[in-house]
Amino acid sequence: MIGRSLTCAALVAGLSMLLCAPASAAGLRLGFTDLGTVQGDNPAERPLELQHLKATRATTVRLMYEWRDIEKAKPPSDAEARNPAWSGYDWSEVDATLRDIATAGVEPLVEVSRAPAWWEGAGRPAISPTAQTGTWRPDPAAFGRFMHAAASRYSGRYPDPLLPGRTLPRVSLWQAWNEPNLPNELTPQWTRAGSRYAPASPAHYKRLLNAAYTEIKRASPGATVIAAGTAPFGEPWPGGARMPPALFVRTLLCVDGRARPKARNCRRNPARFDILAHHPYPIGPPGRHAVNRDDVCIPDFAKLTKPLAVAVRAGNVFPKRRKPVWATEMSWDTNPPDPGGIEPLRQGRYAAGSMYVLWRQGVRALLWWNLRDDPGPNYRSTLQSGVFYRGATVALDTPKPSYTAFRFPFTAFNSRKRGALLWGIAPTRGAVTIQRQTGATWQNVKTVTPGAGRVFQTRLRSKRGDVLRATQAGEASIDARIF
Amino acid sequence: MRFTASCLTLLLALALAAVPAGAEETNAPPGNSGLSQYLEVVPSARGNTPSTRKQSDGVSRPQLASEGEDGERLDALAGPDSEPDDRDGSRTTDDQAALTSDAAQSRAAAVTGTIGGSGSSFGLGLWMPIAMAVLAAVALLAGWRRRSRSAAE
Repeated sequence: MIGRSLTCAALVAGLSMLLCAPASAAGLRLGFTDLGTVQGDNPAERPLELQHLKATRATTVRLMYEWRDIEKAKPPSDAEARNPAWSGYDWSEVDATLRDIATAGVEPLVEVSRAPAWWEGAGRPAISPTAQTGTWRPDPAAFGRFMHAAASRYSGRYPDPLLPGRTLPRVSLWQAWNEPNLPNELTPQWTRAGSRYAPASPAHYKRLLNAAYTEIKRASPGATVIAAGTAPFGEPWPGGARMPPALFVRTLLCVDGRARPKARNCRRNPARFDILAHHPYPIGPPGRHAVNRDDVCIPDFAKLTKPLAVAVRAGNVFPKRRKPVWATEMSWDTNPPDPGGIEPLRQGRYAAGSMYVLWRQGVRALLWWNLRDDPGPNYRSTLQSGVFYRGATVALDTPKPSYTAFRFPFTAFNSRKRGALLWGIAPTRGAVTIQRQTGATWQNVKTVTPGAGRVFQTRLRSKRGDVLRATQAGEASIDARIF
Repeated sequence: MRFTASCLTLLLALALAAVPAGAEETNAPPGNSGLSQYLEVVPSARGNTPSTRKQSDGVSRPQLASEGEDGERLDALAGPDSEPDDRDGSRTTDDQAALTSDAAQSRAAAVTGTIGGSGSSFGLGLWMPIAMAVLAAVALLAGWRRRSRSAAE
């Protein structure tokens, strides 16, 4: 009897391990958005900025372009709209930025949003904070045609107009729109019939996404289409300015029910994308959950991945296969320089901690908002969340502790019963040594070998107050304190 | 008489209990300045109200956050200088001053709103005064019956 029980327990444990394994079998892609410098007014600073990005060991840079900034006139025909060489398009800035990015050996992710005025829908109210330029019912077919032109131009086969004999760089990561659950990105969010509100933005966004997906794949079949990253918070009532992200995603995927999601039949009109994205800006430390049931902070990705899995099984998404999930924006500001920010060391530790919390939930990319701080002094409306303090020029920028957290992430979770769980991403595949601080010196306490994606994790008996770090080939990670 | 008094006390307590939660609540993401699209709005007892500028200046209520084990541990791990939550530095001194005056000004309005109903979609709205009136009537009726009985005896 005891034997049978043990066998049963072993089987259950084994099965559990198998089921849990896929979620932690891969690494975590790291990257940055830096509108101010990578896409800023002084392109001379861009190459050095990209070197700073590479120095963090991040591999990806997210670029954000507005459709209305590139399309200077209304295309005379659908064919011209799909033509990347049409004279009404001004790609000069995009071309130049992508050339520098290709030279630096960084992978670009290009996000496009905001329609030109001529592609906004009927019934547009006056421009206001709740109905901003380029957000009102953008024409999905026109967006698709524009994305076709963009994906053709950056398919890796299009001749570079400035460098004869060469082609423009290839973009393989495309993101269709930004934060479509916010009224400053897509409007209207809700429609009202009598006293009742119905979600409007998810259905309209699905049309935009599907048009973009179809046209991008036609122009560049190997490209990856990422759904717009949803913003983390919404008003928790119908008709609010912002739609809560979990509600937005469920509606997009034709899934009802928060606790036990159930798919409606939307197989004839599935949402088309390769990767689902979200922006889990925090309200505290990396493990703190959102307060509202449909808001999504760092540890709340299950609110998105559960309905996503249900939608995949039901055929409500295309292609019908498991979708990776990415965090395409997130950050904490630091003080200095922002008086409303957190201490720089804490930002670094939070950054490493958030990488673990995201990775554990199956999130496969974290694109941090800002490589270098935005300029002050308007701290309330700018972000000082960079991993570099801003100098007078990029050359004078100086790294924060979060720079180390990106180069060599390492974090620890204490458990009195099982010891501290240590987690990190090693710079290379070789063995990692865990060290404990003793006075002014560091003593080796354990060696671990990283797995897939250079991720390592282990447990270690520790006591309160221990300070640990990981090292590899003489390079040290950000340290972690045991509490 | 004792029953009536108890009832009225209960009603008063209910009304007062609703007051602190009457103001709009927000949780500001620490370190993300005052970008209003990245502020979480928490529903209030007065009922939910549409998004307004006040959200970014609302009262922080971090206790509401359901802190997972990981959150607590990571918070602790952040450093010996980890303070409790509105320490995260999400607000400036100016903000705090604005919050204090906001909270003070809104208290009376919150009582009125709680009793009168805000007419919002999720709040008690008009049902609140109706429920209170019904309760008061029941209490008065019970008191009157008890008095009649003791008079008859």
